[in-house]
Amino acid sequence: MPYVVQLLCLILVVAACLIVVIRPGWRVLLTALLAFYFIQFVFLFYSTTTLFAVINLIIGWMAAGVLGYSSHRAGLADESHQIMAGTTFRLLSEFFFILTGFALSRSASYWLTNIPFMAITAALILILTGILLLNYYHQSWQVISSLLVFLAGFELIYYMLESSLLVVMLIGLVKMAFAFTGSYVISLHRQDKSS
Amino acid sequence: MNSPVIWILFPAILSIPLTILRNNKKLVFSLGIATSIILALLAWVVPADTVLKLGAVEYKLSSTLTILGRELIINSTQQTIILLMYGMTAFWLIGAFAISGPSLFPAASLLMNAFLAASLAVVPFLYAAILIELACLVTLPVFFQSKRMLGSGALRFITFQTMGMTFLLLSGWLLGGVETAPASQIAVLRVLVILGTGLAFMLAIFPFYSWIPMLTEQEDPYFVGFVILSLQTAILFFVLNFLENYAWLRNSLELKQAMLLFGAVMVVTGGVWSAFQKNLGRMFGYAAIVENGLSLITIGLMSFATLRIFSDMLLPRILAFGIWALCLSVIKSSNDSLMVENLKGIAKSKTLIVIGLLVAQFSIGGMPLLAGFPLRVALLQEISFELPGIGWSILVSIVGLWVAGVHTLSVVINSPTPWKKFLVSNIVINFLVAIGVISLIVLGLLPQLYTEVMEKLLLPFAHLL
Repeated sequence: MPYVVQLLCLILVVAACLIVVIRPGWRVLLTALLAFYFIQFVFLFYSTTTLFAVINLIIGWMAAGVLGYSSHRAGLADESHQIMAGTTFRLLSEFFFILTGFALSRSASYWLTNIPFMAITAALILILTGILLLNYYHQSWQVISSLLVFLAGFELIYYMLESSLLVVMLIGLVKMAFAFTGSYVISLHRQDKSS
Repeated sequence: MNSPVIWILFPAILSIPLTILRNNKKLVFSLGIATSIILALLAWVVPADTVLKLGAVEYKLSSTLTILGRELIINSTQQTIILLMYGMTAFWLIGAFAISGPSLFPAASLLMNAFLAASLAVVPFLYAAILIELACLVTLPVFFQSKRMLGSGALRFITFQTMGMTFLLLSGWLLGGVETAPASQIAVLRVLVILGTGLAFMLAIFPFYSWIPMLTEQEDPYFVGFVILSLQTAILFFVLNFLENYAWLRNSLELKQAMLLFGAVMVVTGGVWSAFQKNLGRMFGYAAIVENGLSLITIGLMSFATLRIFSDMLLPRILAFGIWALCLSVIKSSNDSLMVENLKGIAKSKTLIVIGLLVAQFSIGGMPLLAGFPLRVALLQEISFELPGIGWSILVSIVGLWVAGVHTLSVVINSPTPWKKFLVSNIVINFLVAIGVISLIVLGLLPQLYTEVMEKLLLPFAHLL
């Protein structure tokens, strides 16, 4: 896999993670999810088979699409503007998690030898950002989206280790189940609001 | 026709019409109960991979189904586990119908069972973690059907299960490496830590068990009881599969010590916290943690005798938790709360329900003459000389559960009002609770009635026996 592509993907992951943490809101979160799945696709395209990469991209985008469609229909409001201190705190915490991701990726690369270093770093940053978002968010659909971010990071590592179509399908099913659950929760929110 | 089609695909497909028809509660519950009973009976009477003669016709039920290059195998040794799963579902669905439980319950329980059966059947077995995660996800619609939202307990439940799945999948990959090549001590330790963390998340091992009392407090205790019991049982068999498949794991002293240590911590904290709870739902949750801890101890000891105790404990546990959850659900639906201070004197208007609640609670606490007692004694006999510390931890948990039971008893009879009604108006609930109480007493007096059958649950794990 070309080094420049790897580097670009990593920069994109870091940028998207920073934005998603400091600008909470369903549009930003779901756009970031779309970006994460695309980056996952690029890494998998070079490291595994095209079929795996494409299937994963389609399922990931479908999951984000389902959540996005429901959020749009429900008219979910983006969170109100944060005060400066809150934004700074979020930024610093994400910055710390990104640094942790970089620090851990060095030792992780010793035992995940057949995975590109940048992919490991990107995956760890995604996993840690997912965990951070889980702590910031409390609404059901936000927690579900955070879990999808966490899973996106895990998938990036796991699909390079285990090449099984059944696993891709089953984890795809997990993602779709998350998306439909989130969508249903959002639709209930809309019904309650309209009634 | 093959066995995975019968016990995995059929219930999974049936859950779709059951979801669509959920407005017709009577129909979906009848179909769900009938299907569970039929599938349990089939698991009992039709062994896979054996030629059956029906008059002149010979028929063989194949045990293997191939999907996307991998196999699902349900052979005759696994059928006792399948029988237990579907039998338990039937028992739970009858109760759910009686208390007018959520209409998505039948569909969710069948689909959940399909995924859990698949988790036992999938080869390589490491993929079971994803199937267990799917089984957890299936429960979410039932949680928010009545409350129109997901509570913090349900969200924490699904978060922990998802994290557990990722750790277990990763540990599966690492285990393959350790098994095929002579590994360094650090590599072995790394696998054990990742595997242990995954199991801690999924099996609700200390310190990741907070979701259980949260869930039992916030959601309908009857459905939560079913979810916890089904999932934990399937995950415990998954643990046995790990030990069965990896010899070095079976012989790992570190794993054994970790299982015993965490099991003891769960048993003690579950029992002690249970004594201090002011909500009957949370008491129920902590009792479930104690049972998980006991299972961990029996598996961690890795001897034939303790594994037999592990399998024997499952039937009394299912019965006791079933009755306990049913009684809690009845109380919650009439009182709208499970806070102890709101239940003063409830024994005088729902005597049978309170008897059921207390008998189940004391059975889990291991009170003499009840079903939990012989197994607690057997376990204490096995470990008291070798591991007295673990023995004391079990005794402490028993004291904690008894204190919780006595506290419940003192509150539910504490009222100046006269005794009013022994039974509740629903005859099915009365019948189920009465049968449950009698069964818990009979199983306590005559444990030999079921131990032989329950030990068949261990047949798929030949290396452990």
